[in-house]
Amino acid sequence: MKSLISFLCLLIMLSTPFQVVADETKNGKKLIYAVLWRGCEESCKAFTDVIDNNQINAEIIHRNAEGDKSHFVDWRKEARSLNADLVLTWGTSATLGMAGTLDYKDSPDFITKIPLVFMIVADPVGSRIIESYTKTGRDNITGTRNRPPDSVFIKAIRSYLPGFQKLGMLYNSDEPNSVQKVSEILDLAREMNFDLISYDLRLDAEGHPVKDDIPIKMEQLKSDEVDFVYMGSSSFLRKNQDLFTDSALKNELPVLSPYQNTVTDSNALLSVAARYEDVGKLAGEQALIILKEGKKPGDLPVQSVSKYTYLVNMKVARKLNLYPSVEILQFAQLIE
Amino acid sequence: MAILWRSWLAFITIIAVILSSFSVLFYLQFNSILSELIVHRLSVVAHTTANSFQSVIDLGLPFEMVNNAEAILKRSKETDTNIKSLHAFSPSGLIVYSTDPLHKHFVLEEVVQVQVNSDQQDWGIETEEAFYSGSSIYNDSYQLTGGVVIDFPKTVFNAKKKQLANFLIISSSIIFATFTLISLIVLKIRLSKAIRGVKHLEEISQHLTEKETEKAFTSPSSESEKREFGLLGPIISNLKSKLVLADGNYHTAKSYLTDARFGKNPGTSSRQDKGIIKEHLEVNAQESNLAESLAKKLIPLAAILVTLAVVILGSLSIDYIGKSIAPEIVNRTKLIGEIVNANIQRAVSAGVPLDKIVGADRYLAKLLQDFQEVSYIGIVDDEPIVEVGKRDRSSLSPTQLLEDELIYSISHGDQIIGRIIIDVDSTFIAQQFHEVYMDLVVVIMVAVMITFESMVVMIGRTITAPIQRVHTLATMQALGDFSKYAITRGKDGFDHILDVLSRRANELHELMSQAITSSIKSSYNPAESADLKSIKERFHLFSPKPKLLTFSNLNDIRWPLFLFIAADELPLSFFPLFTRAAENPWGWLDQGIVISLPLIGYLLGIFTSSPVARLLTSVVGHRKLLFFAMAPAVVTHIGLFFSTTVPEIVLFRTLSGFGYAIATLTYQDYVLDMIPKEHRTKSIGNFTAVLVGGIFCGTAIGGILADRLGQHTVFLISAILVVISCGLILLFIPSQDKTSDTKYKIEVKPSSILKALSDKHFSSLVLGIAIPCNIIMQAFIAFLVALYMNELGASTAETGRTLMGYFLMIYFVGPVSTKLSDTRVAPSIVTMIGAAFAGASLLFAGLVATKQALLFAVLGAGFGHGLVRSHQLSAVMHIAESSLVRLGLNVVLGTLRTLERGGSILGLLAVAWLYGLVGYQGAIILIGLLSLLGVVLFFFGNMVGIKIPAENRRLE
Repeated sequence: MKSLISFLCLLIMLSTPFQVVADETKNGKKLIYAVLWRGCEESCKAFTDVIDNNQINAEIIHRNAEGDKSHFVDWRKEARSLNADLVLTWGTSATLGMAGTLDYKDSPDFITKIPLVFMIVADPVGSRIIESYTKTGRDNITGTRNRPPDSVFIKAIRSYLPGFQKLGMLYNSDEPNSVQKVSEILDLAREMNFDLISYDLRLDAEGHPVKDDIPIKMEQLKSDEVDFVYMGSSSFLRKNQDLFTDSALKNELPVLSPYQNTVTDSNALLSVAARYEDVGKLAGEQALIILKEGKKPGDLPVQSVSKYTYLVNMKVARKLNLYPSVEILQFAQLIE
Repeated sequence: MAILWRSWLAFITIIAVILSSFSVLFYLQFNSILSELIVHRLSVVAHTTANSFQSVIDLGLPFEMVNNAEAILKRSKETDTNIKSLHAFSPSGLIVYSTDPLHKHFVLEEVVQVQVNSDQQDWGIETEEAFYSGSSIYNDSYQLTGGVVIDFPKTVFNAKKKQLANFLIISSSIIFATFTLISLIVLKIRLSKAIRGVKHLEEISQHLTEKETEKAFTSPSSESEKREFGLLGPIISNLKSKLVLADGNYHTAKSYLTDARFGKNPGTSSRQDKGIIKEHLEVNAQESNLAESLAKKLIPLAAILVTLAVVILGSLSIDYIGKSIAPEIVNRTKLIGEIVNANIQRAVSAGVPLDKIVGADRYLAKLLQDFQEVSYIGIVDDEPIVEVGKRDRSSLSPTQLLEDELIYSISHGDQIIGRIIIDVDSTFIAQQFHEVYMDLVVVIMVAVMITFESMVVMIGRTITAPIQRVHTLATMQALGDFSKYAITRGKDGFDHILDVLSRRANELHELMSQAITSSIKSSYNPAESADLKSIKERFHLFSPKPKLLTFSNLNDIRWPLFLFIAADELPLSFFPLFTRAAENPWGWLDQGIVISLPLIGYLLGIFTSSPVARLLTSVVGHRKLLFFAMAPAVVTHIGLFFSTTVPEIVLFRTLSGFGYAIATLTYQDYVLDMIPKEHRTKSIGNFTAVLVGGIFCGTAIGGILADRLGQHTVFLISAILVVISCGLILLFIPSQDKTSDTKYKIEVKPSSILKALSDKHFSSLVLGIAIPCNIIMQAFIAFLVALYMNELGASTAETGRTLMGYFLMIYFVGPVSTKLSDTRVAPSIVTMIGAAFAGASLLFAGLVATKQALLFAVLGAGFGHGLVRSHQLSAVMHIAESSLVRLGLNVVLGTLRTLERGGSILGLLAVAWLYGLVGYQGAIILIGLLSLLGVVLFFFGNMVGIKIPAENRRLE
């Protein structure tokens, strides 16, 4: 009996902060629970702007994982306890962490009832978050698509380097989307008649990738005489994008990245990417439809960004002595 | 003085016609050229902008997905401050990017339509307010994925149009005023003696009037009179001879009818009288064309004045156009240079070293391919870095660079680090000017043709006709024939004499009626009746009143025919496009067949109505039939104006085929029936020339009008021309034009065709000459030439000029050749030569696959057909009057026409099928061989040439 009362008290004590927070945040407002991977960057800010500018009484709570997946268990519970009206996830890891794969679409452990909008997910279908872009197959989930097809990347490389024949990739076997991407590029290589050389990064004892392996593997790609390096789809590589691109540059290898900031903030040569602002804005529009009109997320198709930017880092181009052609210069955005 | 004013009126009318024709056509053609050049220049911007998007498409992205597309459009807009806006749009017309922030959602529907219908990457359209120049964007599979279009308001263009209009009005007015004055002075000098002659005629008419009740007119002509009265000398002299005889006959008849000698039988003319009459008639025969000879003396004078006027206006106009057009042509090339410079400069400004610009050679080579006026583009510093094309210069030092090169500097910071050099292909530029001037030549030729027709008709009606009328009536009365009278229209000496002669005819008829009445009232006297009958017979006083004297001449139908044919041919240059743009409910039909349906309907209309033309002429008469055949053409043209669907177009075009066939055949029958036999061949030659001239002018003008006023409006203009033509029919053709005494019926049945074909002369003519010629006309000229020239890389204008060569040859060769055959060479021989020449020309074109060879073939076909057409009909007439007399003229003619048309339809279908199998060259060779084999067949079927019948002029 005593133990029961103690347990109940403990439970009440533990739930109180959340309840307090809930009492404090709700007050008639919609609650948006944003789970971010690396802080509130451009897309997050653009999302926030859309919410703020559309006369919806909402508040956004940010939870920043900072690259650590271990928070997701608690955050799933928090989101439920706060009665969030909508969950926003940034990136594949955060989305998987909060929603799980299709296998868990009915699991009470994951966010399966609260509406969820994902953004900056490289391949939600390949990662088995959703069934397809037109119909997610999950009643509570929809999101945005921000990548062009991989064939566009290959054509972009070909437009830049007409003699291109060998593509190099490094991947993180700890990230399913990274492995998945290599497999997809391999299929594309057969279709588009080029060769793919790929290396997985060494994992440590805990099964995490070792960043110091990046330069080593890059040298291997150089010795394999690849013409271009594709960054693929990996949060680890993104996190270590400076090391990645510097190693490539040191080996005189041009890099194509699907992420624009690898070009703008690091040393990738080329990118065909959506602007993160556009992605965030699109996710905001999806959220509005759900919150204002009460539509079911599963009924909304995944929205694709309508515009991409062809970015070229001219500083890297000069270092590599690889300049964009006259035709590319007519529409490319140049970064110094 | 009336002859002076008449002549002067004819002259200034002709000058006014040519100046106004030329001015109007020049104005329209200039606008056409200028608008084409503007669109052409703008297409550089549209094309290069579209190419920028093309690079995006090549990535596999829709062009809507490029983030800085507006920047691309903005840069393009800055190339010309007059550009209002640029849009990039999807295939549905939805505007995806635009330089205009207030743009509509969609581009104009016409823009989408012209893009869809164009088979070129670059296209353009013009509306009332603006030019739209566009370029299409395609994906890897060459599917249309979008387009770029420039909206360019017509403010500057309209200002230039106004300037031109002012220039033309002022220039033409000054030239007109000057030449009316000059022509008045020249005519006054040239006709001074003739004016005296007309005064002399006034005196004669007064004399005749005063002397009516007294002695006969006996004043003979003298040699001095011939000299004294200049151009009219021979005419007056001849007329006076006739008046002596006529006056004598008048008094004789009058005396029989009025005085006591009434009871005497006047008998017939004495042998001596007959001899005098014969002598005078022979003189008359030799000078039978005195009136025409007067006209012929005036025509060169008119031609000189007209030529001078048009040369002056033409020179001024060409100078004007040179100054206006040249900058536009050069601007286009400059624009290419500016765009190249901008793109290379962008690379340099982005930090790309000049010698490391990737893809420069590929980029420049594509520009060279897309813009033919550029022969060389080079990026140079001290040495060439990238070069494409051919350059004539050997050194690049600045002192050696010539002015016709375009040079642009490339800078990096404050330093000039290189240059872009663009070499202009002077041959191409010259070719563009050449095209412009050739278009002007066409304008001049059309104006000259219109003027020539006007000249012949005006001089014929104002000068020749009055003289002919009085001569004819005087001749009749000289022969003792008082059965006719004429209506006088003028007030000069000729008309007064005509008036006297007409009054005399009326008077004698009245006296005869009185005599008959008196005879009836008094007791019956057989001798008296016999005397009256004898008087009637001798002086042709059969009816209670004299009949109106009418004249038939090719000039009666010249203008109506010319206008009608021109009206029918106006849409020729754009009809397939007009059909293609129409709404098509028969989507299950191949588009090529759909486009050809109106032509097939038209030919079928001609084919089915041709056999009945002759019959209708015999029943209804030429004048009425022409009116009833042409009037519905007004309706069909208006119908086409309102047509928006293919079935409507097919319907109205088919109906117009009916009207066309009956009208043109009736015109031809007018020549055959009403013109004297001895002038038949020549008249048919002139008839053919008028017909072909109308086709030529209609085709030439139609394209210009469609370009400026829109295709639909051209049909309205056609309707107006037909209305004028109908009015001229009622005005010019005598209302009592004779129908045939024989009642024809339709006998062109299969059995009659077989009967006709059983005659080797006829069958060899039809199968050997007529049908092959029509196949050349329909299958080669009207079908293959345009397609083949397009394959050989010719422009539409060049194709049009080539085709016009065919009609021009017929226009000139026909009348000239008839002069030969009238007196020297048998028509059948001329026919064979013509058909052989046409066939051989086609063989040559089939063997030598060049544009020049094809031009030779077209001209050769025109030359050959010019010979054939003028003589073939004479040959048929001869056959109809000899070996096939049992069938009758109308059956023979109807059979010929039926087989000709049927053969041309089948021939066209056969060639359309054949060229797909054997190619253009093979098909042309086969047609040429067919023509040559036909000549052989005709030769063996007609071993004897056709003799020219004796001259026997008809007066009615």
